Amino acid sequence: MVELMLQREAFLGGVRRRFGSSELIEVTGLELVSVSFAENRRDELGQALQESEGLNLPAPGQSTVSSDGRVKLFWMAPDQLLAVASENRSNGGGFAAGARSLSVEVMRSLSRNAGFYTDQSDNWCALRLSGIEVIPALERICPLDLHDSRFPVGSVGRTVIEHLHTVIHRENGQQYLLLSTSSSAQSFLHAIETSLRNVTL
Amino acid sequence: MSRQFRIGGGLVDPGRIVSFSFDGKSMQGLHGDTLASALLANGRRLVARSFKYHRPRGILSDGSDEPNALVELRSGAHREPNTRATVVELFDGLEAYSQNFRLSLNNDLNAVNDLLSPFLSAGFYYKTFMWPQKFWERVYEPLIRSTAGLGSLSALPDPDCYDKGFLHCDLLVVGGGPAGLVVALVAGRAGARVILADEDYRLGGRLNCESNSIGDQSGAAWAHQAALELALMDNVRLMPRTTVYGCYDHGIFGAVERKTDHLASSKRLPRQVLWRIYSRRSVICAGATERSMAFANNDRPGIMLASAVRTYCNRYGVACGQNVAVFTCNNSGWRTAADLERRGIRVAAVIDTRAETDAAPNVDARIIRQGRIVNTYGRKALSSIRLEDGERLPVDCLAVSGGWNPNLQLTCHHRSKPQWNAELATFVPGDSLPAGMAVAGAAAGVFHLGEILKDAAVVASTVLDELDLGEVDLQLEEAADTPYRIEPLWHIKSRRRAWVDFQNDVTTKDIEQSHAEGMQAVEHLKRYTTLGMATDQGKAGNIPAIAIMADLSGKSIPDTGTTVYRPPYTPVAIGAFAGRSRGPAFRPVRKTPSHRWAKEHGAVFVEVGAWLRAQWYARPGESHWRQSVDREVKATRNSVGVCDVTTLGKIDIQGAGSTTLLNHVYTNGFSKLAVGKVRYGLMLREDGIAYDDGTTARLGENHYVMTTTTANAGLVFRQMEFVRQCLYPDLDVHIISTTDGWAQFSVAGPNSRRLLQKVVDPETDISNRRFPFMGCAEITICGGFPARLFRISFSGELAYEIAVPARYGNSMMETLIKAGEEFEAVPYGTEALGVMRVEKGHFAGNEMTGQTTALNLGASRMLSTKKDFQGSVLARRSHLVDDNALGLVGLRSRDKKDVLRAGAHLLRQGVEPTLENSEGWISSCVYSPTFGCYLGLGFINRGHDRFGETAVAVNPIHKSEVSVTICSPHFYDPDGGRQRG
Repeated sequence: MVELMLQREAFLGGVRRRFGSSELIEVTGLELVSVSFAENRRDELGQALQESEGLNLPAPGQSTVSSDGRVKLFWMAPDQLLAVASENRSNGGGFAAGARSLSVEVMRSLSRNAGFYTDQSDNWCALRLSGIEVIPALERICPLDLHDSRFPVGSVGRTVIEHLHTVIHRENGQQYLLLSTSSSAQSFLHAIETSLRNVTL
Repeated sequence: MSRQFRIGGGLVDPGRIVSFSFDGKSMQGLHGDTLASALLANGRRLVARSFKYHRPRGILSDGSDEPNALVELRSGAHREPNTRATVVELFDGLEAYSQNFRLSLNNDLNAVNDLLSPFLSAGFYYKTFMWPQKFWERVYEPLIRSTAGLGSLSALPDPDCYDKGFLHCDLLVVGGGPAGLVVALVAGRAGARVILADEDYRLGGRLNCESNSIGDQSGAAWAHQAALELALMDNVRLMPRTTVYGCYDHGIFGAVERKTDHLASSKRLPRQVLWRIYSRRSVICAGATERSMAFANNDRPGIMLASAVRTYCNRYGVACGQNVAVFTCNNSGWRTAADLERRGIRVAAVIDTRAETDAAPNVDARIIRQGRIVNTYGRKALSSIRLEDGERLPVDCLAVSGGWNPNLQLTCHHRSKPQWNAELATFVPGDSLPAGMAVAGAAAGVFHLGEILKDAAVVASTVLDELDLGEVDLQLEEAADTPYRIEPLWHIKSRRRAWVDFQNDVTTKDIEQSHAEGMQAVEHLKRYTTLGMATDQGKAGNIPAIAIMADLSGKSIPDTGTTVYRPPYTPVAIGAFAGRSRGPAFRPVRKTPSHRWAKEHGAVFVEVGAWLRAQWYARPGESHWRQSVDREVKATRNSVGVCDVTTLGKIDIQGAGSTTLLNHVYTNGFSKLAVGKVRYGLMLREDGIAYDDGTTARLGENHYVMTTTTANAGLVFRQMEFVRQCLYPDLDVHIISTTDGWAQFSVAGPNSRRLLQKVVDPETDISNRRFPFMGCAEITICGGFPARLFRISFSGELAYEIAVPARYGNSMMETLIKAGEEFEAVPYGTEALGVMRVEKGHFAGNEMTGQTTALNLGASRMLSTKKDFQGSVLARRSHLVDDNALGLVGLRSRDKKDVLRAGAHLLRQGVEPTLENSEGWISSCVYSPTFGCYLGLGFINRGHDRFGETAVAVNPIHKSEVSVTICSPHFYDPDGGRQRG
């Protein structure tokens, strides 16, 4: 009998490139779960996450991080958050091993089932950009104001980059995490690379 | 460079010689020159030919208002026509060419137009080319088109790249002259986020061009110091070489930054960047532009604006002539005489049109008060001028100042009307400026340098207040200047032609003719004479023309009014507007998870919206698409086929109100759908027209997954958000797209179950009894991988759709085909998908045209009468439920050899093939390998009652008439036994 297995593929092949002093890498294995507040249970959900993970509910345009730093919550919409687990290196982002650090079941358990949960891990490709060319590059394609005063570390914004839905998160001083829909990942990568190339002398 | 004309000094670098060529002749300039200043330094007078009369023309101005000195830059595919030499920075290797001549610049055969000028007055072509009528298209129009235009395009793709971008600031300062620098300094020191944009490469504006001073420094030195201070502020972004060309809504401005135009090569970096600037406040400090006066033959090479002559002398160290006369109606012209004399250039006379002047006549030149110039001489270069009393003065340069016009264009982009200021004899910005905008300095009609600095400080202070930023006390130093005082002189009457708009060869005679022929409104004047069009947009000519028209019509100038200023302020390359959106990057592409596998297996792709889908999989030896498609259909119907259907929209719906939401958006009920079951649903728009369809699976008590058509995925999601947020704000329901998250495959054909049984983990029983038609489940496959299985069929076969996380999509396709090897499983594309759906009689996008109803589609039974739903009221409109309505039918050619074509009209037999006799049309058409003939779906009046009738499918485009039988659309397995098996 033929052994039938599924092989995982990164949407952008795990791309890693340098532009000047900046770096672009595809973050693979990112685990994402959308969390919506069930009616009248917002506070309950917030309390559960605070008690289980030290996670506060983020304000609009903001993110929070769990006390162990493994999980972040992005504000996405008035009744919706996105839980983001740091890359799960143990299983390379595979589902089958059952070793996911974040999943619908995990989030449901952490928040005492006070919300609604949808796995979003494969809806998004993730790029991490870091370096001094990043802001000049993003200026070319990102309509949001990313100035320190408007988009400090921890901020989360939703926007459209080159016609593509994008979530942008400032991880630290010059480091940004960008999520965009996975089916158009290559177009998104092209847009980002073009921008970095266009500002790199 | 000629020592005669390069007099030294200025802001150019004498140590850096720059080589360039003009019309193939090598020349030298200095770093810091513009092409215009370098040409003047080399003694070039004649640089261009005028638009209509091909008159010899020289450089008139020193900035972006230049109407004459238009040149072509660079060569080959890089060639760029109609570039103003006055704004081109000189660089080593620059190639420039004159344009708009036949033979050569010196000997232009088209100059015969000048002799024919009596016949070529305004509007001549409207009158001249009336007859014979048929000559218009064949003779006149080609002839006029061949002579129209100025420079010529390379006709090659632009090899440069362009980019765009978004900037944000508290304050946008447009213009880096004295006012702009003061505003930026005040706001910058207060901590505001400032963008200062200027079209010049050197900040300072007129300060770099004049000999005036601020405090104990020259104006240029003060500007340099201010620019240095601004450059060191983190909160200030200086953008030289940037033209703010348009003011749009909500403080948004368009600007084009010339990144590499001043370099010999762009080194693959974008040549220009088109910025969208979001500002909380803006201050327009765009300065003012000098205008000429209309007198006989005032367009000869060597006749220039007085301010430009000053600029070339002070900023570039270039003498525009050796024997210069100044002709002015205001005090600023006197500054030209003084500056030239100070640099040792002979000034033959200062001819002031006024009787009295309060400017200190600190010049040695002869002064002629109440002077009038009545003619000029010298065909390719000015040689002399004639005064009213008949005296002829030999001069090689005439510096003219007819007054100054504030550059208020940006203030008018929201239709603010400029106001006439009689004291300044010009229009100044009106009161109703765009929100958040202020104007300072010469752009506001403040022409005295000291007053400009003070005005700018006051405006800046007001803006800071509005921005809630603290006050900054800017210690302003005194600035010397002469008062402006103008007594305007618009026109010196003459039998000869006097130019008003140099660029379009519009003379005072044309304005007189326009007036005589009833074209008196300024907008009519503009269209009739072409006044104010083309690259300079009438920066110099508009106001004098309006004044002359006012004079002719007996109205005041403000009553005559101005034309409407619209973006762009100066020309913007189409390439800059296109930016990076060209070629494959024009729009994003979505790829299915199995794209790579499909490509490796011969797939030919088709664009479906933004998606690329496999259309068919060509195998070696298949030379025609039909061979591939027929094979895929047969293989699927006979055994099993696999198709990537990821592109269908998927919406995850959760919450206690989920069923209510579904019942609202679908016409049919979902309350009784059991967990683990799938139901087909139809959606209408609010106007009752069919909109979308798809299946929705109930995965849990309060958890559904909806599929939509590929095309409408985004629209349906948006509509559902609208329903959720606006119609049912208290409903506990949440939706999120999972289209990209799941790779979904249709596995269809009699062996589909056997194939899937090899993949699905044994815990899940997918036998017909345990997993019947329209069942669904969340399962595991291949030893624990999560998946979703739906037993639904678009092909009419026993079929499933199986979904896995997208990261496994490519591998899943490979796995399914591998698992199906023993059944000779094939991948199939959208064409085979389409053939099978037509055979089965499913309607799709071709049938849901946005004009068809559920009744038309034969789906009126799906309109629930037990509930309200989206579109339910308007779907009951009388003409939508008419008995004679179009009905979806199947169509089969009576002769199997006949070809049916989509789009053909359906007519009764024996009637004339006219549009009036058309009763319907064929909407979808395929060759069916299953039936061995063409099959169609279509609409015809009362279609459902006409099964068995014969009709004629008429296709006038392909000149075909085919006899067809009207039948049920369900050709294949009408009882559905196969899909339930």
